[in-house]
Amino acid sequence: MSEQPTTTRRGLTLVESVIATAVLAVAITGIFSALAAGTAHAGASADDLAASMAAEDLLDRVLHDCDRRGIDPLDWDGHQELPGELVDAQGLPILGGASRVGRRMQVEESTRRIGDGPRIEGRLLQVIAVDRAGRRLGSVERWIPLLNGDSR
Amino acid sequence: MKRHGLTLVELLVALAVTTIVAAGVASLLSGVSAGLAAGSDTRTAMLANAASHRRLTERLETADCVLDIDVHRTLLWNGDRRPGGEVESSEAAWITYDPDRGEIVREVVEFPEDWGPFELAMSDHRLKPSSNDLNVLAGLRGRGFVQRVVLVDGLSDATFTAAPDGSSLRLDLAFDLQTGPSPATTVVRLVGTTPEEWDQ
Repeated sequence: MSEQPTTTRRGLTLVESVIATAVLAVAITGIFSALAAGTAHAGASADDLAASMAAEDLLDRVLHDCDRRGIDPLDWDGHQELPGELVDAQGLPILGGASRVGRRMQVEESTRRIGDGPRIEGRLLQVIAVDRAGRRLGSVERWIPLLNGDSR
Repeated sequence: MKRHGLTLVELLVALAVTTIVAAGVASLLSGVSAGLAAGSDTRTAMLANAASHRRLTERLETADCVLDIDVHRTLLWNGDRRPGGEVESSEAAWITYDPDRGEIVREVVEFPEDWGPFELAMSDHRLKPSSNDLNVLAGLRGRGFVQRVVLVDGLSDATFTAAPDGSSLRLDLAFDLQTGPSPATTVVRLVGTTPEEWDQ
């Protein structure tokens, strides 16, 4: 009876296993970091767009209100709406992307001179858009003259 | 060399491990896919919101006031272009939400540029608060005088409301996206001059 040959088959060593696991972990971490960065970037872009829209909307609303009712824009100074609580002139909530951000109004007396002409009294309106953490995302501003004592 | 197969227990353990790993991978991929879809939808919704807001504002803010409004339809007055203080069909704009196509459409009446005052007077229609403006529009459409422009598409719903004095128009839109409807509000401030006959 002949003796059958035996083969020795060995598994992975501990070091090899640890290296393989480390390589896999690095690869997975890289992939998820890229995905997270992409999502964060998309969120930041959406916030920027929302800030621009929300600020323009409030400025438009204030100018329209002043035009129609002849009130002084200074009455709007300090107006503030928190993220998720934006409303229109009727007090109805504004839905969608613009509600991601908050906005506040700053109005101050401002005098300007065009060339060597006379000084013109006016108001400087500034709408500042902020994110949920209160960080400033952007702003829009407009200077409007006071004509015959009215706001526009 | 003596080689033997897997025992039943080894096979079951291997199957169990494979199932758990497969479930984990599927769950991971599903999560990543949902996250990517949500991120993509957020970006798409914001872009659609901004683009539609700009388009609606540009096309509608030159109107003087809201004459009539329904949930999916509104009639705007573009001012007294043909002097006389009355509202003529050529001075109006019909804004309609078409639920079948998911579009907001603007229709205005445009007569040939070489027409004189007499031809215009013969074809234009005076719109009164009591008149059926949709019949007037249908008649003019049949004669080829109505220009139709799609203002917003890709919607699953849209509702229109107006300020009590007709000086602003609010459009609540819902964009049809992968992860479901995405709401957006656009408020268009109008010039605010209402014709006497409609000022009630």
